Amino acid sequence: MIIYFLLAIMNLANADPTWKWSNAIKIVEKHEFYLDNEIIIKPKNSWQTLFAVVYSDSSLKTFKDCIYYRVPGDGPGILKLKTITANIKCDEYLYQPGEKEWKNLKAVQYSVQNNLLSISLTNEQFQIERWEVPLFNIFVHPEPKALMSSAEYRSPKVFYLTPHKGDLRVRPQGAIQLADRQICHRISEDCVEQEPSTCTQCTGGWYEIPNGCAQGPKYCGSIECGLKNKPACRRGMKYQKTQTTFSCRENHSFAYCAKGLNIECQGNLPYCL
Amino acid sequence: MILGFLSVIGIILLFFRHRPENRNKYQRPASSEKLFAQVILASQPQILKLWEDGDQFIKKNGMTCNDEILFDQSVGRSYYQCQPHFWQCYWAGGIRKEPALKIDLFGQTFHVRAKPSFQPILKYSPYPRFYEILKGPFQGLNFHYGVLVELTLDEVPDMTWPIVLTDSCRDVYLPERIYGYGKVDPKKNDQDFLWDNFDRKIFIDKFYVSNQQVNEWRILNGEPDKVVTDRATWSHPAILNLTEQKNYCSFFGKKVLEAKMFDAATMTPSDIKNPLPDRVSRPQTPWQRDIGKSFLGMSQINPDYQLTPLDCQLAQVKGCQEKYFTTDSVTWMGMNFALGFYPESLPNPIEPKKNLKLSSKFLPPESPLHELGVLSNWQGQLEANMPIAFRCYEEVSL
Repeated sequence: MIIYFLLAIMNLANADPTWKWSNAIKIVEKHEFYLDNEIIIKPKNSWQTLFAVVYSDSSLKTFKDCIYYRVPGDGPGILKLKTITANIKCDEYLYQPGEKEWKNLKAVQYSVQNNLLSISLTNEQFQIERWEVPLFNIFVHPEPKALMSSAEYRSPKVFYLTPHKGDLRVRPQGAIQLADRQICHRISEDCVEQEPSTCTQCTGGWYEIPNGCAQGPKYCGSIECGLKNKPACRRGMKYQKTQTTFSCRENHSFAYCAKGLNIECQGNLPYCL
Repeated sequence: MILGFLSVIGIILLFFRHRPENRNKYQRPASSEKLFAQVILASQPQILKLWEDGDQFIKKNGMTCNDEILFDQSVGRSYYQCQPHFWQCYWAGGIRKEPALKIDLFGQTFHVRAKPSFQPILKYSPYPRFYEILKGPFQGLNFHYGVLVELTLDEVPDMTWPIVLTDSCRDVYLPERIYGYGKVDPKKNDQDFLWDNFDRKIFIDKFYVSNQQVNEWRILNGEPDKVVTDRATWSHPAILNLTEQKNYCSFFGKKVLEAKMFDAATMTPSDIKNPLPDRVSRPQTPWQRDIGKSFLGMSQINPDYQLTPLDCQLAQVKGCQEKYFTTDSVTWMGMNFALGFYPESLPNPIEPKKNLKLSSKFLPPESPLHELGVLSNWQGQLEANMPIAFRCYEEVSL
């Protein structure tokens, strides 16, 4: 307890905000010109958005810590942090006061590499303060391999939410979900992905209507594929060992219906009759 | 001589030289928040071990949590992995008197523990819970099923870190390759129905869906009255009608396992390294291509065949002792319970009337139904004399 109180007192003089950023979901709005670890010197006297850290709070709502920097010129540099809701652009608050500010800075460098966020602040006495944050929630989907689980493929094994002080009751808010029949992966007839898949947000799973492409269009919900008057089921495009692209009217072996039913093409989409 | 002496002295001095410590890596953080964060992050391997390999914490004499989860020798250790009731038991002191996880960092031993922060589930017990089941996904958090827990540190007592543990124990990846469905006539040169799952990320439940898992669904779905309260049957397969099976899987973004995927998961490929083989074989059992060489074939020839413990591990048939969550029958890709055990619901878009694996512990070993690719028909209703199990699969689209 004594150690804790000592640390709490020391903390007042050392307000490093990064301790809670290990729960970051992603780093966004990274400045388009500044390179990793570059000393920021231009444009002088201007406010710049360096990056933003998106994270979930204890009730699983997403927020964003925007990090701004006033580049030194006539006066010293200022680093500023402002917390806003995740769907607003940081630039809208560029000139507003921050919740936290670090003044009298000579130089600022930052980098996001290998899931490690580093920030280095140099003050006018050339003292350097360095913040390093491991970004545990930021996840690159691995190539699936033997014995891997779906949980390991889609996400980190542990999600870190926002740590808090005191007795805060965690009350998760409603999950984001897409309704049945809503398209969740748009693929054009010529096999071009129009938008990335959002099918993991479907309330009750999703189904695909195969169209002869590596990925067919997908919709939320479920259907009894292969039955009469329903879309055909996906069968694959490599077991034939003949070609890589298929058109329903020329070769519909990429799909199948229940035994006894025939495939009829509606555009490039196979249905069972 | 002098040079040699100076060299030895130099080496000794070099050994005792001042080494500047790596300040960033080892320095104790000045703020309590940062110290708390670093200790909690350092505890991740232990937290994960407790969650994913909880069974390894159970001693030979079991555990003392009979009002939370039972320890039963007929239940395999997999039952206790990624198991919220085991988590509750552990933190309530049912495994160790002092459950805190010890973390040595910055020359000090810290004590991490979970908090009983969550509302009691009155169907289970009147006590606060050390977890809450979440149904996702949430923005930026891509999971269908998660377990929310709160971690604290004895040494920084007023801080809490909520985390979500995902179910990394439940299912297993079906490798991308060409597969065959059903039996083929070995005399014909016909491969019959082939299909492939290239560019599809399919994951299949390792075990049947259990009563305990269905209880979680009932509670999340606002049907606590339907919860199975007899803890002795929690590890047993859930017996639902087909509509409920579909609803259960769909609730977690999954589907009931299909017949062709069951065949893919159980029919061991001739050449696992070649995903595009010229011929796709249809073995009759997961462990022997020719059923005649297995105990099932021998039982057909010899009516006096005596089942051995090994036979019952491969396929629990009539005459075997009941066991649940065992991994002795594991197939080539990691799924369990291919032949024997329980009849299993397998919806089948290729031949809709062949939607039931009848091979089970209710049939004697000589039954011809104990063979891969042999399916029967089920109307989807509960039948008093034939409990039908099910499992789910998920195709992940990212």
